[in-house]
Amino acid sequence: MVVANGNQNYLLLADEDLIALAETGDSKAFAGIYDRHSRAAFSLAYRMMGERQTAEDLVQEVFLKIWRSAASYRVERGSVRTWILSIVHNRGIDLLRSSASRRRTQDKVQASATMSQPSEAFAETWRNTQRDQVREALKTLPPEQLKILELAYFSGYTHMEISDLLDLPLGTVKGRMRLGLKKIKDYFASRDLAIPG
Amino acid sequence: MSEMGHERFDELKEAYALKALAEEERREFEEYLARNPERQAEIDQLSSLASLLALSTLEQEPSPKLRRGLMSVVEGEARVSRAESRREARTSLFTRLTGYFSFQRLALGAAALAVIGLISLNVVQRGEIQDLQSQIEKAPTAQSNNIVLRGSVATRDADVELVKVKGQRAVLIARNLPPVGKEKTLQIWVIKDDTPQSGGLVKPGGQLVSTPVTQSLEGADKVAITIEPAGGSEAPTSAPVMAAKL
Repeated sequence: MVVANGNQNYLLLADEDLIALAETGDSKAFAGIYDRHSRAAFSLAYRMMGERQTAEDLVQEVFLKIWRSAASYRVERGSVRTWILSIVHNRGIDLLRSSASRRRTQDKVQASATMSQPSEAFAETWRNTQRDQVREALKTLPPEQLKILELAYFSGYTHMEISDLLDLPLGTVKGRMRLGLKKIKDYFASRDLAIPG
Repeated sequence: MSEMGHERFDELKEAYALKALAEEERREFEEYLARNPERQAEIDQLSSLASLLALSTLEQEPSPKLRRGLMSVVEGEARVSRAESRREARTSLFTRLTGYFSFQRLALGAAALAVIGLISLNVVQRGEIQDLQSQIEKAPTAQSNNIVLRGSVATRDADVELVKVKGQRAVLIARNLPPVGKEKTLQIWVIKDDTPQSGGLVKPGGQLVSTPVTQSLEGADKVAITIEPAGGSEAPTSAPVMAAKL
């Protein structure tokens, strides 16, 4: 049961409680949500948009949407973090696919391919166990599968566009998507780990 | 275009989870899903797997300026919202009641006439009551839409009902509520997803009392009444003495 109390310690509240309070207009609760998840949201936005300013604009738009429609969060659909990241992702895809932003070039594909190399992409210190698990899971993917997943997820390319860009048969692109996701699933299943959500 | 079959669905499901379908394919895919909801779980699982990619990004810190700008907008909107709530609270009960009792859609029957006439004595001016009664009398009788609250032993003799009126608004009408003492009051709670939100105070007194419930019942699971310190509480401090599931 959420208690809207001026003296409450927001740090002790679960994400779901903060969202419920934000829904009632509690700006401090919303600030708590922002402080917990803005880094992950910005990291995703930056990875997708490739520029700090565009990524910040995207994150601002997403968090304002969250503030104004916190009631649309449904706990049964996943964690607050997953919800926030899905909004960032959906909006990012829209922006990438809009004509104004459609400046993705073969260069970017190449850059993306470079970033997909495990030695670089995973050189960062990971902040938490879930990130570590995801990193380890992605390490099990052959680079050609990871590249296709990243082109779709981060750059907003459709499977047909990926087929054109990489000059691969469409069936090969679909096959790599299937195998890539299956390998991630198998990674968690084989270690009896819950899929982070 | 031919309707998507199971084979085509299996061929496209990973691309769908990665949001890598063209618009037309996506629509076709979602139409299939709507016809075959038993396959939704499969898609949910693939989407969860795809969304893990979001956690694989190199961590980047947004600028403090972003937080400042965002919170400035948010706090501004929160202030406006609070000011609107205060303004609304200052609006006379008469205005609110006549709003609730938008008579063409009134959910009260003739019984409400007597109730309103009696119960409003405590809270509105007599002139307003006459106007209100006059308007209610002109209104067509609508089917009542009442919810009975059940109570503990202490409130066994009380009759408490929520009368749903306009939209998801309601008026609480009560008879024979037990006295709670000078330092206490009864408080209504509208509970949504286990979160109680105050629906206003009820001061027992006289045979009949009524109060508009200040929270919308939309999406609510329960309504409860607790005994609280005079002036009400931010959150319930005691167990409900009456409650109803909606």
